[in-house]
Amino acid sequence: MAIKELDIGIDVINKTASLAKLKVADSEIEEVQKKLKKILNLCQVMNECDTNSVSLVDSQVTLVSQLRNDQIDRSDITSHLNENFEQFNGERSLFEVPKVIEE
Amino acid sequence: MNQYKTISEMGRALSQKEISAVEVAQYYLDRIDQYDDKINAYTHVDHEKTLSYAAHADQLISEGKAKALTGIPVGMKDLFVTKDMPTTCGSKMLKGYMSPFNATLVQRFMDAGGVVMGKNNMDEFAMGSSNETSYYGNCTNPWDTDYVPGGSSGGSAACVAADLAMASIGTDTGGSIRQPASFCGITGIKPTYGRISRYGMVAFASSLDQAGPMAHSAEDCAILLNTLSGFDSNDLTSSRMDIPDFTKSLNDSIDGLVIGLPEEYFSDQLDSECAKLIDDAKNELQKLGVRFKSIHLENLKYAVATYYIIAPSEASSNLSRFDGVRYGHRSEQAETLQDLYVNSRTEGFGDEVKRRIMIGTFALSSGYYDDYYQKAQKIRQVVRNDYLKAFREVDLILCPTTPGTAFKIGECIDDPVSMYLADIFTITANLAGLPAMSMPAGFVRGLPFGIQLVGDRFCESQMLQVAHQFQKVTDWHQRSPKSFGGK
Repeated sequence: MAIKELDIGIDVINKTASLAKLKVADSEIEEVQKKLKKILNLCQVMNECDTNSVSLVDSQVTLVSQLRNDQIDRSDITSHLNENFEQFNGERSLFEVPKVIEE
Repeated sequence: MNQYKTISEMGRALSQKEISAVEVAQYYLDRIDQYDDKINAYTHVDHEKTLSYAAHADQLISEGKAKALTGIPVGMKDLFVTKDMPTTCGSKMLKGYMSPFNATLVQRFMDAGGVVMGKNNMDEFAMGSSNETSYYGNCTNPWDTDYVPGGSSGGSAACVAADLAMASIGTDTGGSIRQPASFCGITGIKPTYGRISRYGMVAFASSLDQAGPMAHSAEDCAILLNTLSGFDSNDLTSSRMDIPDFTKSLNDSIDGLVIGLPEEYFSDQLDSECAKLIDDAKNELQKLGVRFKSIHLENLKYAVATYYIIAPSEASSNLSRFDGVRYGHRSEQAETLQDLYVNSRTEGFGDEVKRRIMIGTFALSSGYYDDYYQKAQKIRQVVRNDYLKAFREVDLILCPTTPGTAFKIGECIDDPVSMYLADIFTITANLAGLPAMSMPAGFVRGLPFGIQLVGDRFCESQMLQVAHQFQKVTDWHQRSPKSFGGK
């Protein structure tokens, strides 16, 4: 399927924001919609490029696979975690977060 | 102090003890105190830390252990994590963040006795072409502070142009070293993907990101590249390719070299006065024996669209780590874990970052993935094939870095598409993983303009050689903005 001129509805904006774990305020939604539509419609030009003979397997920039020895390499990062977050419980090595299971 | 115009001149004076590293560092700290309010090139400066690095450099010199970068003052783009200084990535999200480790390239620089002057301002998470998306205020162009310095490594370019450090290390995902280098009249190189470790560099688009030096001259860039390059077991995309001494071939003749001129890059989009500067540069190179050949990179027209699908897609994945749990901004308005994620991200990220996360999330979402992300990946290979074909005919490629000189602050910020289109000449090198550099080629209406060299993979030496030969017969790279009292 080729990219068609998109008419991105408010529902698509809200669904995308939900997937991205972002909130778009009602007062901002039209502006966000306008700009995203303009950017994504810019991408329609990709339709003109014939990629039928291109295999996605070949489409990564050539890199030689690098392998590491299967050895544990311990870092001492844990002891520094509370420098950025007072919510890190050093004694139990846990980050404190709001409740996960709603009642 | 300002008689030392190059890293090698300053390095020689340091090793011969004509000056000390502490004196050099103090001189640049004084300049930062005096001038940085005008351009906002630094997000963080710590006199005490910098002077301690300089004292360590002096100790290395006195013990006869000096290397090429010992005592040399360099800024670091604020996305390389540093143990001693905060790393903000130009974002509220990482305000005050202290990393428990140094990025590999920072560590390599410091192991060589280099002196970190501070962290350079940048577009938030490297997303921007004007440095206007920084949470810490926009950086301005030292040549005219009404204009942008370019982006995303705008602070790096501005600090070098205003002589607030000898050099800076920036990053380039779609032109973020080369475009600001062009706008600020300095030299900047994006090496081949994999040449420099990305470990400790806050990720934007992992298959495109590459760090590189920004300095006055090609020679300075070569010296920095010698230290920063090389395989790192913490970044398995870094290359095990041999690292040449990038300074060794700088003075070799370029007589007989064939440089390609891609016709698609010399279109109506290019400012006519900038086109004239490219002609002047071609004439200088011709006098040095370079032969020019017209070539085609016919898929240029797809570059911006392809880039603005791939980069935001990777960004949407990379930036998912900022969830308010382990580091970064944590919302105080959260009763549930879901609220914590959403509110922390919504409050912590700026508009441009959120826009790109949304584009990337959309392009990767069910129903759109094949049409957008998969199609863009295929075009990426098509673009790479264009270059493979071109490098069978020519040694290097010459083209403009940008369609024109720096634009005014505020001119494009409300129109992301026009801002994105300005990246057209730099993006393809990232898509193909190729090395590319910008070097000053003159001025248009008082603002600098740069020309770009693109090389085949791991051919940085050849590009630096041509740039160095060009800089031996021109003085554009030695010009400095008068109002900063620099060199």
